[in-house]
Amino acid sequence: MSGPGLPRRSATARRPGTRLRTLAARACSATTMERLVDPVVADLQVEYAQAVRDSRPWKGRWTLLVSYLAFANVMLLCGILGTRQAWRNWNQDDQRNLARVLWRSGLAALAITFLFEIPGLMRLPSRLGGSRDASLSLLIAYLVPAGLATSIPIGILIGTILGLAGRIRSRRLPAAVLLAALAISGASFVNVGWIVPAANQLYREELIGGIVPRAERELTLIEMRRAAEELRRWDAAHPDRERVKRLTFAYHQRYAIAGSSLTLTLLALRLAPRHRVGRMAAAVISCAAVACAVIVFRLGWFLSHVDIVSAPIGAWLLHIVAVSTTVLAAINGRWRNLPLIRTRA
Amino acid sequence: MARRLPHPPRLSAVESLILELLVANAEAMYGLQLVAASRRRLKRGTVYVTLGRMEEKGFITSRLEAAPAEAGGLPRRLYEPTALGRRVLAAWTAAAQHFSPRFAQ
Repeated sequence: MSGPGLPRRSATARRPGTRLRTLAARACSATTMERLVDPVVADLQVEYAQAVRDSRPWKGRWTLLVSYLAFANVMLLCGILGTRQAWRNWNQDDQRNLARVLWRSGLAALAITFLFEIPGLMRLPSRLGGSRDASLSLLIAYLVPAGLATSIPIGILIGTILGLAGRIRSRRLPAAVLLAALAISGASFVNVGWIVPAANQLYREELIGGIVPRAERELTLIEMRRAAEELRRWDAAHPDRERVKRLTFAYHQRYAIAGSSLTLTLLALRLAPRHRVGRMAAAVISCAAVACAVIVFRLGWFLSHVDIVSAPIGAWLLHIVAVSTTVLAAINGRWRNLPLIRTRA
Repeated sequence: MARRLPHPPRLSAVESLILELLVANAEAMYGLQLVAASRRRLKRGTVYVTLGRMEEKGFITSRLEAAPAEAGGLPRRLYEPTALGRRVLAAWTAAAQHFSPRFAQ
């Protein structure tokens, strides 16, 4: 022991729950800390110290496990209660900014859906050929879910950058935008997993005018997973690596597309300029972001196709790049905001 | 127009259990003591949330224990019922006793 202060400091550092408490203090209010977090941490420390004093290591470990679970539970409840409180204290500027983001995202998504549908619509007359029984409006409607699957994440990327560029943001606003993106991702998951395959199948049947066996694209998420597993099992006897790869990629891609609303929102929150910029500049930033996202998305497919990366990594490449860029931009922003660097600048 | 009467205090099953335990015990109790005394009817992950809510309602009051059980560790929070909490529990128990036999019939 080197001095009177050291043992106390090292004992405090070793005390379980200290770090968790520090992390919780960043997110929770003083009242929440006092009423919810501190009692849990105090229980953990007392129980653990008791187990150590009694030389019962397994009891100590069990205490840690149970207490950490209780801590997680409390944090979850804190999150729910905090969200409710934030909603009550929601100010009008935040509401307006959130509405701007959602409105612009929706508009962008609709425009992109329409753009995606144009090639399909152009081909329709030639595809319809003699079968005039098929309803054109139904065919167009069946194309919408597939269009929305990709247009929604892109729309959110554009809408968030355009909606938040140059706007003053409270701490709640990004959280609310992310929450909305999470909800949209959930809806997108249902769309990509079940609605798009069903709509695709209906489209084909309407076009041909009879029952058509379902192809890979028309399989639901669960059916696609089963098909991929079965194919992998048979692969040893009947090697068709290309099909296995394609199916695995398509399966992971559906999850990736569903989750891309959330990831691209995270990126857009970082890319949206905080200082005042013109509409044109914001539009250029959003267009550049969309172009990069599309390139990375296609690159994932290409790299997986030529066996440079595995099919799951290829499908999730956009997420990997978007999250890495967000983290790097955040680190860069933090470096720039350091007082020393700011003074020099 | 008739004036709306204020809502009477409400007591959930868990809140009622906590109040019963606190009233039955002469001394103030801390969260884990309540969990242990409840024979697993209270969970350590939710007990403090319920206690916090009850404190907001004014059914219980809390204070930090005088000296930390372990030097340097966080002090534990002790809870005891307030006069309002005792009255609400008494009223709630009486109402339950009054209505229970009728429901059983």
